[in-house]
Amino acid sequence: MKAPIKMYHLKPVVVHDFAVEVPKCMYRLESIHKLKKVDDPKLSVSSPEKKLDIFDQVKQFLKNCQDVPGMAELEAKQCEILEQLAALKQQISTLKKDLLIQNEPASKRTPTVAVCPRVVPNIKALPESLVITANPSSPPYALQLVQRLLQNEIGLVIVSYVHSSVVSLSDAVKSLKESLSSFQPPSGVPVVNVKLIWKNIGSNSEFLLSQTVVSGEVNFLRFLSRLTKTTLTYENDSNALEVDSLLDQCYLLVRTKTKVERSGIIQSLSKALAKASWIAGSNQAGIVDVAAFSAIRQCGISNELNPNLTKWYQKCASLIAS
Amino acid sequence: MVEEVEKTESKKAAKKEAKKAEKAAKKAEHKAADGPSAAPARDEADVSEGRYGTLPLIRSDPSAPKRAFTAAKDLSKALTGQQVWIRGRLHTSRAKGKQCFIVLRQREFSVQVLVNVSEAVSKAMVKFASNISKESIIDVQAKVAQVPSSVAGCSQSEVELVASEVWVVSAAFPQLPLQIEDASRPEKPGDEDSLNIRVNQDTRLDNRVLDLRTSTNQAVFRLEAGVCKLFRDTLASRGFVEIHTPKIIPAASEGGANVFTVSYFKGSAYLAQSPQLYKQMAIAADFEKVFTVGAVFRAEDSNTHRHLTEFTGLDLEMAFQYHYHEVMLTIGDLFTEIFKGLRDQYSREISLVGQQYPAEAFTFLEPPLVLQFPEARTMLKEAGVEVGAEDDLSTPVEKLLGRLVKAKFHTDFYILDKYPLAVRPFYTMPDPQDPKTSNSYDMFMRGEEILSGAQRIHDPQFLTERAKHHGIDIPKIAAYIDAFKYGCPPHAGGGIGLERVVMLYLGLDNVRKTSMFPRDPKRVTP
Repeated sequence: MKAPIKMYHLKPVVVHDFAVEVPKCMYRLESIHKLKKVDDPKLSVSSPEKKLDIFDQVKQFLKNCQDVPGMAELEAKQCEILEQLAALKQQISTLKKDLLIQNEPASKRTPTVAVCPRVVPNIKALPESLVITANPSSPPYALQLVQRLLQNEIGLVIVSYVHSSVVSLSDAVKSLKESLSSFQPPSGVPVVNVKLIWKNIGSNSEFLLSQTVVSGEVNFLRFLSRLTKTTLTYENDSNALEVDSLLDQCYLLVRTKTKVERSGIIQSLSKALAKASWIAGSNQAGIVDVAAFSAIRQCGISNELNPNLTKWYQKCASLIAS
Repeated sequence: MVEEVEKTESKKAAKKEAKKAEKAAKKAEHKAADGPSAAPARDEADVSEGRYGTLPLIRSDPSAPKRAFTAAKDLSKALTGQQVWIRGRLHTSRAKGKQCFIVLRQREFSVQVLVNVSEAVSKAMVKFASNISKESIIDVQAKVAQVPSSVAGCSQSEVELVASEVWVVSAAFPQLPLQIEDASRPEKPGDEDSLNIRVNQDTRLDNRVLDLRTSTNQAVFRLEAGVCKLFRDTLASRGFVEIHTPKIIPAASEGGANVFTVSYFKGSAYLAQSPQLYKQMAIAADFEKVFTVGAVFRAEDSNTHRHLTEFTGLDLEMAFQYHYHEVMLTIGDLFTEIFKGLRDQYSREISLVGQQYPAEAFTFLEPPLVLQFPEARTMLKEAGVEVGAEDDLSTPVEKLLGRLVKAKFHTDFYILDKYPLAVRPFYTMPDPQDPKTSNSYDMFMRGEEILSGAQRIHDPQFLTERAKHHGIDIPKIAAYIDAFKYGCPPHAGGGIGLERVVMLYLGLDNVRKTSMFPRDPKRVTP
């Protein structure tokens, strides 16, 4: 700041500390840097739920590298951190208590603050309207499931159009079209208008994201899950990688041609389901269930499933009916 | 069939004429020189005598032979070995020693005819066949024969005809102002290798009779008839009534500046620039749903690719219950029906035109896409073009919007709803919720406006008020306002230009290509 020679002191020409408006036309990714700064008390106050993620991540990290040398040291360090965190939590809870007692209106505001970041991004991050193109030969049943699964979080209002490249629709597609357009989301839920165009295209479905074509039903589900915080969101789950690979399997399933190819994929799905009620071990229907159900239905291979998967498949189907 | 080649109006034409005469004289000389050498051949008793020649002028003589003719498009392997009569135009002929190959054309169909010296066919007959001028109409009796390898350049490539009789029905002048091959050569941008002979637009239009013979033009005008037919059929099936409105009108119906004045006995009258007033009067007279097909005149001195001074207007008007969207969606569905009909029934015509003028196939959605004006503005804004809330879209902006919509919604046809009130005519009904917008809509094909419609004001008082607001002289439009005096149902409508719709559907670059005898500020002939 202080120049060695006497010179004019100039005011900075460019002011840096103003809010930069981030364009909304791209994916919004979770900041990966936030996670590192968890021991900063300020941050942990504003996002208490982040701590859980750290726990999980650390746990998994430890699981994955059990036979790494210096494990003991790490473990000790972790214990230390955990203690620190516990202390912090204590601090926070006392702080909260203090606030509750001292200042009534402030406490009233805190829950709204806690709610806001959950709901507001839900609407803001998603474009108001989406255009999805789908091939009638492999109809996106996922939309039907998503519409019903997320009905209390996002209201998907779907209007169907038939493109001139399609001369007539099959009965299965017609009934799907009916069911999609007749669905009424409960009032008060943020609405996303979807224009579904039935067109003869190569991939099973695609949509346009600010001039970039994103193809594949599975990728649409990923897009939806990343921009919103719903039951479909899996990115912060411990098994995010497994979920991603399962989604890829679903994507491939639609493109398979022989029974042998298919059976391999179905087996991996079956393995992921195991004895749980939903695939990928969660206690409610998630993104993989949606993708897998749609893929199986598109291929019309519900009779190739083992009893366990069949049970699961019927459970998915009942979700639509309800 | 003789062309208007001989029009000797300008000096140029006179010069041409002189040249032609000179050439003809030379030819005659040549023939005279040939005469003696040809004579001995004839002496050797022509075996084909009475099997070729020029028919006397057909004047519907009762003693004329009754023959069954076969259409070129029906010639196939199945008819092999059969004798057929066929009448068509001589497209090209090529003599090769004792053989003469003729390509016979019937509209877009063609077949190869072989005149071969044989027991029944003399050398003289082959010579006669090879000397028939192009574009003459000839009758041929021939035997259908299979060919070892398919005939290139003919639509009936599996068979050829071996002629036994050749008669000229109507001879064409030997010199053609344009060659059919040149006029039907495909336009492939960037293809430098192929022959680059084109017939320019004015030559085509000056010799429209010849130009219309190309398969492309045949297809274009068949498709145009199809649009008209589908328009009528669809509307008739929905309870519309076809009406015919006068084309000579007492006063300018819309703006006023762009009307043609015609002398009308002692006074003057105008040519209708839109049947709108009469459509509306039919509604006020309880016809409920009406449409009309007829000529519309615009005295606009605009020499663009999409303006004509006379074109065919397809107009409709419809009374509705409570919301003008009932009408807008009816019109939208009408277009969908037309497009579907064209796609399903006229695919051959579309592909024929596509061979000469390649274009992307026309795409549309069912039900049609409806965009609100503000939505269109946001789309344009995202693309970097700002349009004011009360501004109209300029032609380039409309084109851009068309491209944006195509990219996003995969459709070449869409409806733009809720235009700002300021850019619409005085009789447009304002939106009840927002005084700045109106109950009006435009429809677009490939980014060009084809229809502009709205809910009309059907209340005489309100109409007067709106007209005053626009600074219109009330006495001048008194007749229009009076039409609503005795009660009129709420109604809306719109009109399209047939030529423009066909042009845009086929992706052609000029409306003159889809008007059979176009009229523009620079052309009133032929």
